[in-house]
Amino acid sequence: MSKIILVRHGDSQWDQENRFIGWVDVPLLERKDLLKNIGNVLLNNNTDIDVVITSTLERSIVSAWTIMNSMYHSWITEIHDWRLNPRHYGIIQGLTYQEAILKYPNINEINLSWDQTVNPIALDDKNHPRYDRRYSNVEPEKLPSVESLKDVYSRVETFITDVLLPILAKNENILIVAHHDSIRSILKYFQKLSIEDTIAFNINPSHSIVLEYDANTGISTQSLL
Amino acid sequence: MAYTLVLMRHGESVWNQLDKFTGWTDVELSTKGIQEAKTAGVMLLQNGFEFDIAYTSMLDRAIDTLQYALEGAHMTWIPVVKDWHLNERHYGGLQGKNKAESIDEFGEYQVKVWRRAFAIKPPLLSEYDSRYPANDERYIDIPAEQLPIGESLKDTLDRVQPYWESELKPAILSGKRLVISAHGNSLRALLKFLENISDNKIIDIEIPTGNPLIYELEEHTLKVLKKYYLIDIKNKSNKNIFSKLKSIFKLT
Repeated sequence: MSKIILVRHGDSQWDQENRFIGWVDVPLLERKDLLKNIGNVLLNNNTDIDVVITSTLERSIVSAWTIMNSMYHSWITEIHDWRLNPRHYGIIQGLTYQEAILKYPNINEINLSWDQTVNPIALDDKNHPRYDRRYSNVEPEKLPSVESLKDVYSRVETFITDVLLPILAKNENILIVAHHDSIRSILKYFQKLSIEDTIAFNINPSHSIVLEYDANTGISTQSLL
Repeated sequence: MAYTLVLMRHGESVWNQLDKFTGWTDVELSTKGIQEAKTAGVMLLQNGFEFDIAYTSMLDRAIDTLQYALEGAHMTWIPVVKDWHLNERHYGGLQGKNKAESIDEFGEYQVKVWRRAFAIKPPLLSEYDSRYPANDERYIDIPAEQLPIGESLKDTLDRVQPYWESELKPAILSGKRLVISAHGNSLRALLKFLENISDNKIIDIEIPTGNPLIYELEEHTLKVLKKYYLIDIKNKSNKNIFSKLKSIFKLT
């Protein structure tokens, strides 16, 4: 048996301003009590974490460090993988909800759909991920200009196959600190959620959910920390 | 094109203040140590440093220093390698003891020899000691006979050397820009290899905490072209540098 502990990163300034953040690297706010508490619970439960995996964004990485630090396990092996990034919100990244609705009156419908997107950012936009050196090891055509939830799911699926399943085959426990869309994609994969249930799934910032996974049967059960 | 290498000695820990032999004991940074690390990170960013990979020891105080610095520099996403070869000198049976207590127990002369001699080992740990490294889960994948149970400075240098040769040096030669967060004695080892410092002299070299040490190295040969500390402490305006940066960068 392995445990996959899924944690959504803590709040950033832009979360509080209700902005579409996407791939913009907004720092975590300093209030980290909920994250520290996750570390304390893991420590008190004697849950051995073998590896920590985050997205390539600071709010997820610093959230992971906060948890590891509060459980005195800063030394655990860590991996940062771009495929755990949140959904790329194209041209509305950085806009508040009120600003976005002026461009897209049907923004709610788009966001609550499986495969619709807003318009992509241009390939020559200096904010395109292909100009960010943190993605220099990724083939440029794989890097998104905008994504639907379906697109997020497809890349998370390749992450699960390439990275997660080999670790789970060794019966190791994994702490994943990521984003709303990448977390529900992982749940869809392991819990075989329907598209409707995936869209409806919510997890609050600095909150966690646990999957207990049996590598022999491939069956996972959901539990709380 | 020269290579740039940045070394950081971890910021002050809570045991530095208590004057204890720390070694491989996991001790948290003090408030001052955290401030030193954040300052280092902001200063690295302000001076245009970029890194491709970070290396740190397996001890919390070095890892935390690295993390606070990378957060200050907004470069948290770079790969981080944590390796025991960069750990502090293992102080064996002295670990956890206050320097005054050690003098009471072993005598002033003996303690001075352990601290100052190049090749004299401290009292060694037995495998039944709670401080025995092979009993620590973080070293579970390392064969017990490779892990130290009490080191002289020479032993520390001897264990850092193969790691320098097999891991760090090839990474620098491949053009990667490294930041290494480590300890007084494991960093002495790196200084010795970089600058060919003799055994006699290395013991007198002190590296300040929390102040990034910058090396510019000649391509291919790794000859030291330039060496300096990022924060010029002789400049009086840097005395309260954290308070200054704090208000500008909203550090806490």
